[in-house]
Amino acid sequence: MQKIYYRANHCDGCQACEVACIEKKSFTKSLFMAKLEQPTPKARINFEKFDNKYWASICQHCIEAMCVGACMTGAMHYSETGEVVHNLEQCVGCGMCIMVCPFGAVVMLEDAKKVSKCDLCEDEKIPPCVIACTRRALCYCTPEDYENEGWGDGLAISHHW
Amino acid sequence: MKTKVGVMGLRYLIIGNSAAGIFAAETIRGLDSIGKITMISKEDCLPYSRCLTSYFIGKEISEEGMYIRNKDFYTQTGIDFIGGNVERVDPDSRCVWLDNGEKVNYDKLLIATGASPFSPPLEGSDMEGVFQLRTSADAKAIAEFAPKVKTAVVMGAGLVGLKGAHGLHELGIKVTVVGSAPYLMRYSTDPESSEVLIKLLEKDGYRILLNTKAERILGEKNSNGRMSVSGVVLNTGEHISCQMVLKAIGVRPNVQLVEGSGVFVNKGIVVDDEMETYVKDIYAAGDVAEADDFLTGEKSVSALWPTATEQGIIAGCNMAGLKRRYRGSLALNSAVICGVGLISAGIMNLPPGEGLVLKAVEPKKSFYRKFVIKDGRLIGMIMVGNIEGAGILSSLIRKKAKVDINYLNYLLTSPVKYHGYFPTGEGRE
Repeated sequence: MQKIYYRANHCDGCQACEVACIEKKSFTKSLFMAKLEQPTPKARINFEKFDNKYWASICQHCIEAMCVGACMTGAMHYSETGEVVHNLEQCVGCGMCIMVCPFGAVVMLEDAKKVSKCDLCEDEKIPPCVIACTRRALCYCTPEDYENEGWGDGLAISHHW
Repeated sequence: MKTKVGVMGLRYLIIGNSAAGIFAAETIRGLDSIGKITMISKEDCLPYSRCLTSYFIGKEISEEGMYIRNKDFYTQTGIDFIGGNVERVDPDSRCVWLDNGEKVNYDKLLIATGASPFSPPLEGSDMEGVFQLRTSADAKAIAEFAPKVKTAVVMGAGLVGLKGAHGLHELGIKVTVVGSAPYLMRYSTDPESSEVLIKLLEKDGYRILLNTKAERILGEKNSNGRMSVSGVVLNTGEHISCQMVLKAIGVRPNVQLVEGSGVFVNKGIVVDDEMETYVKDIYAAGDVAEADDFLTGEKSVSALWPTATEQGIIAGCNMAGLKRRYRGSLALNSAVICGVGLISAGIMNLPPGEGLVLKAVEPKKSFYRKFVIKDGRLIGMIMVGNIEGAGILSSLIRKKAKVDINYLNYLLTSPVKYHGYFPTGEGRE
């Protein structure tokens, strides 16, 4: 299973990934129109500058995800290939997943009173945020590749509670 | 990934088909593909979420919306489901007896029977219009009765009481919440955050009475000759006229079935850190289990959905032969009240003079944040208003790591974002 990894030391905080995510998640699929949409589309990847570094929070598709255990509706579940996916239909916006996600990767869609998170854009070969990242701070690969390439710090494979 | 050690093909028996039972069954099936899994529940229906019953009352979701698994769940997972009531557990001959005289054998047994609503005796509780809220049947009964109701009294200002009140409020019923505690949801808030919530609720048309108890329920004969609720008398002497009373005082673990089996029961069924009871091969998980508390290390019953699922997973692993230790239950609560989120974790109220408390309040924005720090470690927090990132803080509590006070001060007013604190829990692999 491939997922998105973030390397803080490569990021210069351009936020192109956020923009790409908003565009992809918008109804019109156009950045210019997205601004006018109601509800305003929200990025599933979030940045903040802290301690002179940029930190991204994005779903790590944990092997044993706490959000899946905390979800009281069954909306948060594993796909057959192991990704953590969220069914918006079932969600009631209770915030239980937000309460437990150690990465802060679940976002609240205030208008819809539901939550959402990165779904790795199943219909795309490579997620648009990764394509948009010119500094290769975002990597779309399997945990094994991530470690083998020497990018990781040994923590990638142990992302579960 | 998981490595399997142990024998495959055992007979697993799970009593109860809610959070703990379902997650245990799925975990067992993942580790033991040929084992025979049997589930017994007195609720002969698909697994559903008890937390969603109040949403069903308020017509926010349909009956199907309460189900947490689809209709093919039992066949897909390979579970034999029996609808029935377990009367007795017999560890010597490794079987359980149903109340219809049927016997079911097991090699590994999981008791996940949950809890039942409990309330002290109150005059008039047997009348039509007095309800409790736990099962989907309760919710359906309330939904059916609701059209006759204009005003309702909810007894209990806990999470269930408030959610039930919200469901009724959604239907246009005028709701009075009567709580004996000095503030709302006393196990998951503090007086100040409760103040913020009360303001929101009162603005929305709820009436909140705290430090108050209902003394008796008044009734009158209705058209079909039965006594029906007409009002409630409070200990303050006040008389509230209403057509419905919802009792949401608290819950008690369902432990009747293990009486005389040698399984040790304190408040709930006492389990060790592998979720095994004092009798070998009998496990317990969920609202019925009394397991270690994460922060205090003492045994306690924690009746919360995330706790139940986690205990179910741990019990399932150990039953299937993969040894895993439970890290302890952490009090975690999330509620949305009048559209404003509240999340709390750990110990919210320390005795005066102990530890350090950081607070930020903005009453106009319904914003409140509180961090409780002891020995340089974060042990509790409350967030009202912007709740995004709450999991980062709850995992900081889980990590039991020393935290910089300046950093927490910074988080008190800014959005909580991920700053590289890797929260892969210690003591858990």
